[in-house]
Formats: sequence, structure tokens, C-alpha cells
Amino acid sequence: MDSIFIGKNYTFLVSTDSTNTRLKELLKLENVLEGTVISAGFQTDGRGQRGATWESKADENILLSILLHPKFLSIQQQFLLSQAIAIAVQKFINYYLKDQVVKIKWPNDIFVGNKKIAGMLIENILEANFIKYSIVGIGINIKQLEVLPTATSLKLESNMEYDHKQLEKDLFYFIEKEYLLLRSGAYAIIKETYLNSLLGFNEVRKFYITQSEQEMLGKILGVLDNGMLTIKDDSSGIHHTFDLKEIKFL
Amino acid sequence: MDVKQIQELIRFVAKAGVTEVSLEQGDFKITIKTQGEERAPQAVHQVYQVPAQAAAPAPVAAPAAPAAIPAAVDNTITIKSPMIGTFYQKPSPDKDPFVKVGDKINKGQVVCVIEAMKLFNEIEAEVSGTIVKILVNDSSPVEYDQPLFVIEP
Repeated sequence: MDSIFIGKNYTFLVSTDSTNTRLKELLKLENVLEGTVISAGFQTDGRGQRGATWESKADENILLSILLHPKFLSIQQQFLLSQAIAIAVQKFINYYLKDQVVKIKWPNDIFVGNKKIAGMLIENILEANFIKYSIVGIGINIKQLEVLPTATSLKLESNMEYDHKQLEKDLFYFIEKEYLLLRSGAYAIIKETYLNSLLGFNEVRKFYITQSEQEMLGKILGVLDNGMLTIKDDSSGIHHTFDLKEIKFL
Repeated sequence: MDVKQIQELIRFVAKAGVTEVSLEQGDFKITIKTQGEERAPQAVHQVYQVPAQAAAPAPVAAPAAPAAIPAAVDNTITIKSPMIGTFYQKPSPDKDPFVKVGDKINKGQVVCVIEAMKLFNEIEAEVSGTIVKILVNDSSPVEYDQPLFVIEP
């Protein structure tokens, strides 16, 4: 499986602060081709969600950032990019772990069963009402055997050895495929695929509501264009919409 | 320059009997022309054009002039939020803010980040200038089009 443009311009750093930061710095200096990748063996300042660091040991994970030029997306459509990349990473993991249940945990973490295997952090540089550049940072646990109880790795799940370069090549292929689909304007397909890959979609499960500090049994019904999650309260039948910090999966 | 100073200037121009006076202070430009002038008005780029009421030598109070002057003699520019999200002043919680009040900034410089659904959007300044005010607190929610910064170009 080969990609056309993602990863063709590729740099590997043994250790760096954060691949997203490196790519952003590069953008300040020169014109950077779409699909340019900076990959690292180790990150000293890798970031997950704001403030949360991405734990990793040297050469145990895929840690990379891809530069995209999604100028066709308006600022308001940016959640589609997050959805497309999440689908790609989910498909990539599923390709290696064919017998496991691999899902997207809203909004864009990748889970095997109920354990996290991959995450992403997307940074956009805007121009007028459009996205000029997107720096897509992806972290995937590959060989890591010591992980948090809430996390897992490819090796833990399969007990197989992997070739880092081959994994990256395959990842680029999956991402490029979804990105090109996005670029072609197939938004409805992306939204549908995302929903069908979503952890807890149309199933009753337990959530924690931050504001009321209460637990709720509910079913994910869908995701709005801005990314907000719609859940039907199982007992009252009322539909609620949640932003990222307003709800937790239990 | 405030409204009172402009009024005084108009009186001065009227008394002096000159046909045109241009004044420039920093980024503020004003041109006052008396109506007695025969020439066609020149296409001069200026912020305000205040016509003097009369060229008569008698002291004129220029009564109508103040009303014609826009209330805000303000040349600042506001950076607004292009989206709904959470406003962040720092690249990450343990780092220094992108900009502080009094900082000189360049066009294209990142002034803040707005996050929505784990997508982080860097907001760039559209003009060079000085940060006069930061209107939103760090980590607070912002609406579409909400003013974030006041910049003096």
C-alpha cells in the first residue's frame, strides 16, 4: 500500500520536543509541501489534549505530524477533518488487529475494546474563513508493554513484532485515502462512516454529566456538524447535546 | 485629538482666513477646508475631513461642526473570534502568553488559540501594531465574532 503525497517528504528525528511544534517552526521558514511528515522516536513535550502529555518511551510508538492544506474547508467545517483522520487511524489499527473491536471514541481517540491505543492533536492555521494549514499530530502505541490500565498497544493486543517504517507507510496510505475522500466533498460518507465506527453508537451505556455531577444511562444518537455529541437519556427519552468537557464516558 | 481640540482647530482656521489646513499626529490625520475655495476637492487619503463653517473673519462658533464629527475618534482595530470555542492566551498552560498588553506585534503573528473539539486554531493578527487591550480571559468560552483584542496600528 503506497501513498501518493503523504510521507513523500519525510524527516525522522531521534528525539524532539514535539513533532507538531517542529512542523509549525518549519512553516515559518519555508513553503512546506502538503503531505510533509515529521516523525520522532521520542518526544519530550508531546501533547495530548491541552495540558495532558502523551506518555511514551523511545522508539516504542508512532509519533508523527503531517502537514495538510485543507483550504477547501471553512473554519466551521473543521470537525470533518478530525472525523476523516480518526476514521483513517481506526481503519489502520483495524487492518493490523482484524479480530478486535477497534472504535473511535468521541471525538477522535482510537480504542481497542475499552483501552486507548491512539490519539491525535490537530492544529490549524487559518486564513480568512478557511483553513490554510493543518498540522495533524498522531500518536499510536506500538511496542509499549508498560502502559496505563486504560491504554494498550499493538504488541500487547497481538503479540507480534512490527516494522516501524512499514507501519508508517500503511498509516500514510489510510490517511491519504480518507483525506482525498474529504477533498472530493464526500462529507455524507465521512459522517456516516464516523458514526458507524463510534464507540457506544446506538448502545445504552453509562456517562457522567459534568454540570449536574450525575451519571446517566444513554444512547449516542449522533454527532452534530460542530462535533457536539447527541445522547438520548435512556430513562426520560430526552435528547441532550454535549460539548467536550460536559460529558465523560464511564 | 478630541472633539474639543477639533472645534478649536476649526475656529482657528476660520479666523486665520486660510483655505486649507492639514494636520498629522501619529496615525491621526485631519484636513480642514473652508468653503470659499474654488478648486475642486483633491482626493486626499485622510481619516476625517471636517469642513470649516465659514471663511468670514468674524468669530464663528462653528455650531454645527461637532455634530458632524463621528463620536469615536478612534483608530484602533479589533481582532474578533472567527469561531465558537475556548480562548487560550498561551500555547500550553506552562508557557508564556502569545501576547501581552503593550506588546508590538507583526501582521501574521499568532495572538491566541481557539479550541473546539480538540482542534486548535491559531489566530493571526491581520495588522501590525500594539496590543492595547485583551478583552477575554484565558481559558474562557468565546462566541463567533466576539472581540478578543484591541490593536493600535
